[in-house]
Amino acid sequence: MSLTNWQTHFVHAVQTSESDGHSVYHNNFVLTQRASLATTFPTVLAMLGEDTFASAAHQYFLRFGKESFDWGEYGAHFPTFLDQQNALSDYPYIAEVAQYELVVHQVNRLPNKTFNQASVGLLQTHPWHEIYFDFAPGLQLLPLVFDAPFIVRAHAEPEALTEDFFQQPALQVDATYLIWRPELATQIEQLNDEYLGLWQFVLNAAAPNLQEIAQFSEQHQLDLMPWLHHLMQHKQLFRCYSCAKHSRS
Amino acid sequence: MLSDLPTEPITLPLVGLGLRHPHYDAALKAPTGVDFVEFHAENLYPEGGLHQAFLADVLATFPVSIHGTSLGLGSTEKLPDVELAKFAGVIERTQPLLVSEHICFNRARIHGKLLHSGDLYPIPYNNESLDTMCHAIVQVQSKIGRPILLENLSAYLPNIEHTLSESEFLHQLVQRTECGLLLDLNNILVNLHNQQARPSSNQSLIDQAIAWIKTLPLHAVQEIHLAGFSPNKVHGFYIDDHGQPVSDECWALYRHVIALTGPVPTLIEWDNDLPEWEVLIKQATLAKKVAREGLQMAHKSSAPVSDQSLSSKPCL
Repeated sequence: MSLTNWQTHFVHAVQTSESDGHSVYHNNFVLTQRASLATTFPTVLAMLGEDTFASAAHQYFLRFGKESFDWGEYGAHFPTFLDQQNALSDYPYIAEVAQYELVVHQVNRLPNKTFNQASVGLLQTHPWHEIYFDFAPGLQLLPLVFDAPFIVRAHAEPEALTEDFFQQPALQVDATYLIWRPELATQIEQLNDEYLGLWQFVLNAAAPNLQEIAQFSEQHQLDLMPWLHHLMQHKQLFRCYSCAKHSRS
Repeated sequence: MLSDLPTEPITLPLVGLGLRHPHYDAALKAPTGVDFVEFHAENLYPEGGLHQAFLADVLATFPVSIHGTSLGLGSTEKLPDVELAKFAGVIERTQPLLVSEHICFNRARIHGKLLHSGDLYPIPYNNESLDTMCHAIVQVQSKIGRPILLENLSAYLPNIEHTLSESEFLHQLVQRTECGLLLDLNNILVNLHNQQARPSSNQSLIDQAIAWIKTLPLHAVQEIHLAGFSPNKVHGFYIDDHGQPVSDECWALYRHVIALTGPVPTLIEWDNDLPEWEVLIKQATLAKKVAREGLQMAHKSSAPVSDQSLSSKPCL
């Protein structure tokens, strides 16, 4: 048997606990996999309880396997998986809680960037069609039906949990959140409808320049300067930079 | 007697502790009693946020060693460049005292999908494994620009067919790649305990371990791991669970082995059921004491290290 075939057989034998020796490795995998998911999804674990969580973790492995080298990157499909589990229909918000915890986990691991407040000075010295934005690590929009950030916070502070905590209407928000990491820890804020459209325009794949952003604001009767001030004050915008070659105006 | 006293001062080994998340604050608040701390490389893969902020504080306080647990250098599936780059990035950022990985494989293609076990699986000791490991070790060493140390495993499959002894395998690994060895004494003891069901020697367990260790390329041993293991068997095996204090057996073996290797850096591994940081510091202090005893023993006897014979039969 070639070494490749031997190793393939070994991995398969661990999955199926073919012998006592393989069962040791299987057992270790189950425990480590569960612990890894619990680290990334602590609120999901708290809400489901140990047994249901363990069962979900096992089913998740059977469906998706583990491809990442780093346990810290494991579980990217867990929110989608939870969303598809009919057995969890009592927890309609569980997939969104998982999605929120996953995004926070991922944003917390992103490389640092250098915050450059002085770069805002470019707005005074350069044509706006040459000015582009570099946002905080992980800055992104997260649309949610349920108030997952509140649920996660409430589980971290159990005194906030009341008997009617999980009444669905109270938890439904149908809102879009802005997530970013200004310094060491991820932050989140709920966007109002007024500026949601602007953020969607700013974060689209075309990466508009400042002149295009200003034109969009004007068309939608939005006040650009307070928005820019908010971006810098909360370190959502890390720097402005001039890049003439990308200009489309 | 005056003649019993060593004529030259004995150099003690550096003694380190595995630094795991729950101990971050305690280690930084009380950074005495330990010469270096060890990180699992993968815990340092995140390049920003709290991870890097903490790492900067640790690097300013302790020398570090980096212990990889995910590269699976014995895997026949290619080591992806992106994973190697992450590992190299950690080495670049931390400039560690020591860099180590394991003699194991961890991935295979099942139904077309490349799966990673997240664990350390044993390899058969044969020429194909040797070629595979050597290729990967050279690849890593070339990428990070320095030699790495390879750690012996605890393994739970007694019936793997080997065509080389573990000792022969390690000799050739060292000779072909110029890597070093990380000798995990607890893994050796766990393996021997698990073989007790099939006793083949009248020697004590410690003597068996020493006899086997003497067959290794001891000049290449540049680090020693010490740990304990649970007395409870799982599926009929003792498990190298790193959830206990260093066992008395392991201390006894260390006393002998440090006399053979000289004062190489020594690490206390305790990864599960973590005690207070102060308990680990006491283990580190005890390691120094035992190392001193072992080195004094060697100093007095000034006996040469036993011949490292390739033809020695492995006891593992």
